[in-house]
Amino acid sequence: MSLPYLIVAGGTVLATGATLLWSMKGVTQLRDKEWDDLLQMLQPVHFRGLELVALDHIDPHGHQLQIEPGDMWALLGGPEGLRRMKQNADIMIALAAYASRWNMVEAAIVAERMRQDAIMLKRALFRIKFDATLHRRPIRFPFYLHQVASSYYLMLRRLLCLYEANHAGLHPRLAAAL
Amino acid sequence: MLLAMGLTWKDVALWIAGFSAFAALFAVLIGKKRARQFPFFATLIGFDALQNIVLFFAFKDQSLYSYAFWIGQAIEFVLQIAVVVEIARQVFRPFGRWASGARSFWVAACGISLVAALGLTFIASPHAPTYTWAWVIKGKLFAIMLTCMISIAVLVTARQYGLAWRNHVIGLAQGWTMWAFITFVVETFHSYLGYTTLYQRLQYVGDLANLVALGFWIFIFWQEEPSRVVSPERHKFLVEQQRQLGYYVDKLVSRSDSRRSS
Repeated sequence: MSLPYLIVAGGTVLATGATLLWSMKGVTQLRDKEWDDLLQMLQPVHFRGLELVALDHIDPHGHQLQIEPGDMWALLGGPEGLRRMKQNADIMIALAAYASRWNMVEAAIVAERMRQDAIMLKRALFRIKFDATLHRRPIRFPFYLHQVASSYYLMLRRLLCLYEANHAGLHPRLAAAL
Repeated sequence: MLLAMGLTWKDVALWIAGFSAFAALFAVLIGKKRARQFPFFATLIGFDALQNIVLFFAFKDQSLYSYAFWIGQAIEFVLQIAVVVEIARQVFRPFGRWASGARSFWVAACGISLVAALGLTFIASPHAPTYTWAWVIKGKLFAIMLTCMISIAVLVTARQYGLAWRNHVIGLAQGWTMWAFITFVVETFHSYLGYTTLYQRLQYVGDLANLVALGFWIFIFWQEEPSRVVSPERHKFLVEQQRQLGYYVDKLVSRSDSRRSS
């Protein structure tokens, strides 16, 4: 009975078990939630700051270098703001999927578009977090912030438009929560 | 008679319970027409039910039993991998096409799983009465470790890419990964402790996990899924939309990449 093998095998089992629990949590977390539960899980993000950074990227005008990277970071709410956007992303997709009860086709398409936006959002967030862990701020940092802001902004706009078109009664509550 | 064949009452009870559970689940899959959605899973369950009967009657003849058992294990391993691929296709192809990025991520995760399974099997050296038995233990460890890890890779990929689950698929995947993980733990203990007095007791743990999973699936597949009937025209529309979305996203990504590099 070899101790090194016990350590390696035990470590593998524990790592596999932890990965299993993490992934199961992700699968079941939002699936069975009702609309009100999903809404309560949303955390507000500073909309005006988000809009300024996002539109600077996707709707440029003159003086495109007006917003400095430090300003972007502050407008997006720093690490807390980014954390909220990451958490809200999956909830917003779940809310879009929820709208399939009223308009299956549009909700499915919008949810898929938002899922694609969320992939770009999470990739950019991962790169920011990775660089922060290594205590470095590469030249691409403001580009990542632009990607985060524009992806989240697009998700938010798509979701609000979906509810505006298909369930106007819930739209004000959703807009307030976001 | 059964006890005279060297089987304990626990072995007999587990054998009967196992066959009953496999047969009941197979009947549910066929009767409720779930086999159309999960053909490989239904095939595996039907094969396991049949294998139970064949091995029971072959038990008196050790040589015949040995052949039947090992051929059955090989077929079962292939079917298990096929079931994992079946689950992956259901989750990663919401509109009949692979979700962008999900396939390559999952294949990469499967590659890592294969390397990890080969590595752990290679360094295992279980205590066993014969060389063959040692390789039996190592082979079982490899098979279940690979199955377990690529099943978990499906869940991880789905979470990473925000892919939705339908009820029957999630039920199958949850039961499958829990069963695979418990069996993986059992085989890891086997690979460390070898063929000792604890071997059979640990085997019972694996058999019980199997029975619980079968019961869970009977419950899941008995129920109806919420109706999400899509007409052929709408399905065609959704597939075309997804193709256009994929093209649109690729254009945006390549445009932003070229802006960054210039």
